[in-house]
Amino acid sequence: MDILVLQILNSLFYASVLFLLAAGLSLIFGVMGIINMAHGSLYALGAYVTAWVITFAATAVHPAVLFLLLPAGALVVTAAGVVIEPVLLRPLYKRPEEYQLLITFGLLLVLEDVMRFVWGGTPLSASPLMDALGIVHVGEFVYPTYNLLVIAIGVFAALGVWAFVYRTRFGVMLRATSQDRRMASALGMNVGRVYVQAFGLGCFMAGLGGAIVVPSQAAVLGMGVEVLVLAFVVVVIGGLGSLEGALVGALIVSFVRTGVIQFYEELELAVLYLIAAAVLLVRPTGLFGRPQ
Amino acid sequence: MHDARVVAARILVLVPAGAWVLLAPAALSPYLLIIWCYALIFSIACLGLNLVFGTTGLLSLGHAAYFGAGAYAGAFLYRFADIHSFEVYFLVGILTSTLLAAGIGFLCVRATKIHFAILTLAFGQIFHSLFIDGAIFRLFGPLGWALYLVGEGSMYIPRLTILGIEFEPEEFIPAFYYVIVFAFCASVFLLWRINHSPFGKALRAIRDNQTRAVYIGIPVRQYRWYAFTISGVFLGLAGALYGQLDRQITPEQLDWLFSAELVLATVLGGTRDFIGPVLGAFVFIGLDEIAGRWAIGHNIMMGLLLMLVVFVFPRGLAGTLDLVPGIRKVGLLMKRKWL
Amino acid sequence: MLEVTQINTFRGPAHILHGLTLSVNEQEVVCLVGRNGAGKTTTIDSIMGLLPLRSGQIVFHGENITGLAAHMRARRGMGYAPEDCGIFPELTVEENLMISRWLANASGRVKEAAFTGSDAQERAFSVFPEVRTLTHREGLHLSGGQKKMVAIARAMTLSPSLLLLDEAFEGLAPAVVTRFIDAVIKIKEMGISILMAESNLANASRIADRLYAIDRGEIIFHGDPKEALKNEEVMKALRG
Ligand SMILES: Nc1ncnc2c1ncn2[C@@H]1O[C@H](COP(=O)(O)OP(=O)(O)O)[C@@H](O)[C@H]1O
Ligand SMILES: [Mg+2]
Repeated sequence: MDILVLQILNSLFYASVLFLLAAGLSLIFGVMGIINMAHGSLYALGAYVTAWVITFAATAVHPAVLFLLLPAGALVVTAAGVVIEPVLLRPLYKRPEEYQLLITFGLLLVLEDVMRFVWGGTPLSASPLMDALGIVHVGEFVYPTYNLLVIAIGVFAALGVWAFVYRTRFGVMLRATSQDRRMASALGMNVGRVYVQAFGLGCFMAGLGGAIVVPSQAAVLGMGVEVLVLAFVVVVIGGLGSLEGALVGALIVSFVRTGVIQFYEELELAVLYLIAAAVLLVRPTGLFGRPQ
Repeated sequence: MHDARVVAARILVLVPAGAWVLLAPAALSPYLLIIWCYALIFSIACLGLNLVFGTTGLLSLGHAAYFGAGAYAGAFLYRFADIHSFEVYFLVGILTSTLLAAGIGFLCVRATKIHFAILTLAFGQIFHSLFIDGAIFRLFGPLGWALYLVGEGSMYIPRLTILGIEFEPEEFIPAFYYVIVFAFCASVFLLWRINHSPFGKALRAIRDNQTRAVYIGIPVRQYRWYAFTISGVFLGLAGALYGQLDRQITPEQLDWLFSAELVLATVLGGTRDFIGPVLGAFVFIGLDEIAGRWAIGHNIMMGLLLMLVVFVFPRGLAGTLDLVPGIRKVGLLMKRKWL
Repeated sequence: MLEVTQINTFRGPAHILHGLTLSVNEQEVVCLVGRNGAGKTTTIDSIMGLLPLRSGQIVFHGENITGLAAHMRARRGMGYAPEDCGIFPELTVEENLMISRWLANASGRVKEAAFTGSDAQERAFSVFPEVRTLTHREGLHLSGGQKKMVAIARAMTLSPSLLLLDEAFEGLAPAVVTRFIDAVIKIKEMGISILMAESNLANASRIADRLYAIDRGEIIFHGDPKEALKNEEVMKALRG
């Protein structure tokens, strides 16, 4: 029984991080029709920056202050996104989508090496945050309190993004732009600015995902590429461009993964990809995707 | 009828190229010969990929699976059936990859554009994860599992006998080189014929305007499937050669990053010209080698190169060279009908 | 208020508009009449800034707006209702109008007139009261005629000085067309000028103060609608 609770918590922890990543990916696709292959690397960048800042500050400041530094990674990644969209992506919106995929793949390669140069091969962690919060007891087991915070951030992010997109002025403009870019500009919306903001928001979510994961799992080279493919699985199951889909997809992937690991570890990834492939074949636009 | 210029152009291009290809084992150090072999193999893979990508207009991010299958199939055969013949290894590899491509392709061609890319990626990763997590090895009982634990999913492939001849270790690569050259020439010839057949024209029609292709009676999905399967043949062929050359095959060759490298090299060379993927593969392998040797950021270089190609040379190397008048002329003369 | 001079527009490699010139004055309904494929939509979209000009000039309220992006033109007082209506399918009608209300407050005209987006929306409702009952529907679930109304109401909510209407009567039953014609006259009486693309000369001549006939991207006639009806050449070109 306790072990079940633990498994559920683990799944929710994982789902929180995946949701942040996949929702950003989906948001960017929904608004500008681009699959950002570098999304996982931006997540990794968020993790590295946060871990780096926290490692630096850990000796100097009080742990409570360290928590304020947690979003550092997310902010750096947002700043990167705000530069990337106008410089790299904007010239390509009119070109076939292969080119958009290729350019973000190029960005992935560059980012991977930049992280290799700056942080080298040694894993970097922000464990002081994890330690500061201690543990909670779940029956006879213990569970890091920090992970509960991550779950809370995940829930909060899901609600926040939902409210942002469906309940704010910017959200209405965002949805309008994603549905009909031409008409949006003919009504007086500065579509270019909406694009930068949407891309920045997507990057912020990826960076935040990396930032909140790094106190409990060290940042390592290749983490971005690994998580990218999982984020693909999530958005494919949920439907590209759909926020509800990102949430449901993240939950499905996390729980299935936890379940499969119990029974047949070797098939963990295979089962996830298989689900994604099956969904794509039966419902090409995913569970919540807009029909084409 | 040939006019003199056609003959002259062919002599100008083919004689030096032929001489170089035949004499390479004597001219190159053993190390460089292996790199050159690898470039030839890689270009077969890129040419095969381009039948789906450039010609049919479908971006696949899962072609590594067929490349890897071409080597893994023979590797298992050697391990569990103790077969030492290169011919058997080779044919089993091609057959396996073809069947795999036919099966996966059948499902993938239901989608297009971004969904096709993701679907091929997902299937490719299924295959990758079966190897890297060991599920496939489990099927072969305790011995298979032990093999997985030792190699972490990679497999050793010995020097096999070629046409029944067992070569000494130092003789093996120069001899195997000619096998690769033969396979390369055969692949170029076959793919050229496919590209210039009515079927190839139909594929380009599908790429350029699917609606119109349907309208003029092309069975679009079926032809896409054929193209996918045929490209699986060449990927398997390249993979089998690679496995024997490197004497091992690892899950790295199954990963989507390898698929993406194939795409990258193809785009670098130019997807719209038949010879583009070959040029791209050569340059890609060359740059890869330089980057590896100087310990420069390998990925940064590839990433920046990709951006350069996308922004400045969208037609790739072949398309850009084609703008140089002299080269264009020779190229046109080369493209004339052979007989 | 609007002067379009010698514009040339391409769609891809195809040269569609050949040195087209037209103008719209204050408080005027101008119709651009031509058969399908004549270049009406291309003209409207060029004026709105949705298609780039190869050459020529567009002046709006005395300002050269030739190089301006579409959203800047909208903010200077151009309202646009395209042929396909362009209703955001997954937004409710209320949200569709909301966007216009917000953006109206950013446009120059509203600032001058101490006039808000909501006032503009009220004026739109006074022309099309039906829209008021549709506010909770998603764009996707509107009928063709409802879309046309919402599109015009949304453009009016921007508080424009010039409305660009592309085939506003297309697909409407004759009785409904009459209803729309009354609406257009009402809008004009509010001080808004209108440039309409229309393929039906009879409809156009019922409301137009002035009329341009377009064929193959060139203006072939300009003047009073009644004269157009009498002009053999125009009638032939419009019939095809
Ligand atoms: N995307 C396009 N590419 C090339 N030509 C186009 C395109 N869209 C329309 N055209 C051509 O432009 C011409 C004018 O079209 P349009 O302005 O839509 O005419 P109208 O609105 O008067 O029916 C037509 O001959 C049409 O074939
Ligand atoms: Mg039209």
